[in-house]
Amino acid sequence: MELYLDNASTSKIDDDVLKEYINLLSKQYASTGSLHSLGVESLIEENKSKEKIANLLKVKPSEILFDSGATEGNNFAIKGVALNYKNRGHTIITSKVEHPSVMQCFQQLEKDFNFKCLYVDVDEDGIIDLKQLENYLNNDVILVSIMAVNHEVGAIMPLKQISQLVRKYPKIIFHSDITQAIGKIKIDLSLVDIATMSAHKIHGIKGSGFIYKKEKVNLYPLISGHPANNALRAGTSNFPSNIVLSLALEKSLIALNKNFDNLCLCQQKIINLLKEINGVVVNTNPNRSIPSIINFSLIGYNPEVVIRDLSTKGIYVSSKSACSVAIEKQASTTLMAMNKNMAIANSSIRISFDVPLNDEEITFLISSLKETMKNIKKYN
Amino acid sequence: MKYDAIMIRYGELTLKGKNRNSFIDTLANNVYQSFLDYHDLQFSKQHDRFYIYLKDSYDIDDIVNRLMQIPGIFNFSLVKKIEKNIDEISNVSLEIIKEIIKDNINIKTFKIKTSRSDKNFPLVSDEINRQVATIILKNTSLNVDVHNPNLLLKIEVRYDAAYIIGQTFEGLKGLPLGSLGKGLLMISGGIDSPVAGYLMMKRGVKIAAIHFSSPPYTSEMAVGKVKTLLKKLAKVQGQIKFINIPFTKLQEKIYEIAKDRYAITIMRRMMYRIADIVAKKENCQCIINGESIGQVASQTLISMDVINNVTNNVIIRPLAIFDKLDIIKIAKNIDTYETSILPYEDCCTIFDPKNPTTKPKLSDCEYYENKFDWQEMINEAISNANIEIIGVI
Repeated sequence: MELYLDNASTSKIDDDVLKEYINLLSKQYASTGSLHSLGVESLIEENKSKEKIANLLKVKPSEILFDSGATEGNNFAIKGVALNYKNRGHTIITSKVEHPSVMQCFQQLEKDFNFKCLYVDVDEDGIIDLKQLENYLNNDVILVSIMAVNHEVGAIMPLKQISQLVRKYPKIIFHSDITQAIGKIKIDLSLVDIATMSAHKIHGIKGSGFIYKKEKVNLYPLISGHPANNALRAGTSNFPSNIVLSLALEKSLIALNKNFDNLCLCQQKIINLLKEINGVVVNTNPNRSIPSIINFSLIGYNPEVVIRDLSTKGIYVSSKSACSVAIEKQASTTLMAMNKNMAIANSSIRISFDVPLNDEEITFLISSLKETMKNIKKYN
Repeated sequence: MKYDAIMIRYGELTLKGKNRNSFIDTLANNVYQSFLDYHDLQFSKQHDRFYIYLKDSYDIDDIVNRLMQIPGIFNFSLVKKIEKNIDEISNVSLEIIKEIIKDNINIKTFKIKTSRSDKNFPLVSDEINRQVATIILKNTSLNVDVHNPNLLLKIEVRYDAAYIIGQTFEGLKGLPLGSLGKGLLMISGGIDSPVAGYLMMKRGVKIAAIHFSSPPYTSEMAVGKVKTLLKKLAKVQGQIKFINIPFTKLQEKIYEIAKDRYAITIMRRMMYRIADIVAKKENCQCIINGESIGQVASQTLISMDVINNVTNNVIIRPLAIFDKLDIIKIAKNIDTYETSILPYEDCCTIFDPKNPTTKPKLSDCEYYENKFDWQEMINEAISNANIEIIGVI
């Protein structure tokens, strides 16, 4: 049996998406920026995809900009806002549990561009402290960037409440990294000004994604060049990926409706079984997280060794803790922010599925995990 | 300037009396082997030097680079073959000297040294020296120094033609690879062991490599790293046999039965036992490793003694007395350093005992080892070894 439980890292390309993509690669090659009929055809198809995405998310097509995925999107959203609105204020706010592509942008803006960065705490489930956020808000703030769902533990952030707080200050732009949320829970984009995602987390093509950006928001372009279609992000469009992105999104939203309840049951079942194992601490609170992620710690074990041993059994999981002697010990930033102790923070494992596991698969997962814990030695 | 040949001078092997011929044959064969892809390369072997004849289509830089990697070559020079005519000799000599000083501003003085085996040539050696030197004095800023010249240009006037010996390159020195047998290199993936292997190859000893991996505690990346290191060493040797020993079970057992203080010592003893058997199997006459006195707990003299006690194979530790910085310098020169410092765990680091002993006692080691049947586990590890041939590409 093989269990790919690393869907929060990346997911397998959907069969229909792949078919359409290959078809496009071989047949439609003219640039969306070209004026001849072949190029116009590409552009029309890309625009159709944009419209479909906009419809699915109940936004305007002109508010969707294709890019290479959330890392680029987050860079563009955060630096783009900060640099464009630097005359309005110098404070930017994020949480302590963001993805590195958000965190590093803040650190860069802090270090090299003299922005004042504030990092909001989270509670023991990984959800941000709204009180603290409220206290941080003032007239100097130009950007608040809070993820919709945490990538390590699956915690769902209260976008609605955040939005209400932020709306009291008209000049604040509210960005949310929705990479782990889209296709996993329902999202209301009217709450935010900018949202970023990657297609490959919802069975789309790697190296593709989009930014949702309200029309009123302007971003400072990071990639300059030929402004044929998109003055904000120059370069020849990756239109085959962009065209199939709408299909991937559509299918993921259908699957969300279909699987959500069963995913919740599956998550609860696995968590119950994990809690029975001596030495396992579950870090995900299923009541406050998306159902497709479970984060737990195997106290005393090096997660890298656990991952390698499970992979010999055909189970593929991941970890954001690196507890290795060769490189310096690195604890998970999310778990540290959740106030977990070092033993928990440097032994965490994340499993993430896309469809509910059946009983046989759950049994295989739990028994393999027990076997691994028995076989491998704890870290001194 | 187009040269016609490369003249290779043998290194230390000229001292080796009766074995000389076999050393030369080995070197010639190694040179030949490393130029297999030059299908029509012509060689000629003489008693004190060795010639490679060049064609226009050859990439001289590539040939020079390859020769620099071949142990047993003292130095080698680019040679120009010309007509036996004093004007031609003078002009070409000037051209070559200009080319040499263009790359080296420290050259201030020169000397011309001619040998004339063709006694029919109208000028005697000294006259040739003077005439050529005159041209060079007139056309360059160099001065003559017959005792201690910065640059010595040799001219040979033979029956067939005159030869001018141009730019000279330092060889790797050492002894021809394979002329002194084969050794088994214990390679971990760190900085030291590849350097130890390199120094042995330079000394004429071929190597095979043994590595101990402990999955899942060590990653496949760690094995990949060792293979990358061997690829770099294969530039000298061509191909290296790589024996990867699955060490997990033994290692777990050792940590189970031995105290934290003794785990590393016993682990090293087991590794030596395995290396001892594999060395014999692979016809290696010695075991080589990167140990350096005092570098870590298992490398104190007392530790080395207790560890070494499990084998009577010759153990060569080329780095025994090297300072770490000197080892790093060589590692950088042979391009293994950047790979060695990649952060993957090897089997020496995974359990990371807090307090390894620097003064182990043989009796204590034996006491722990008597607690389990290591012989069988050793045999099993060896029979499950993964063997691969690593080449340059």
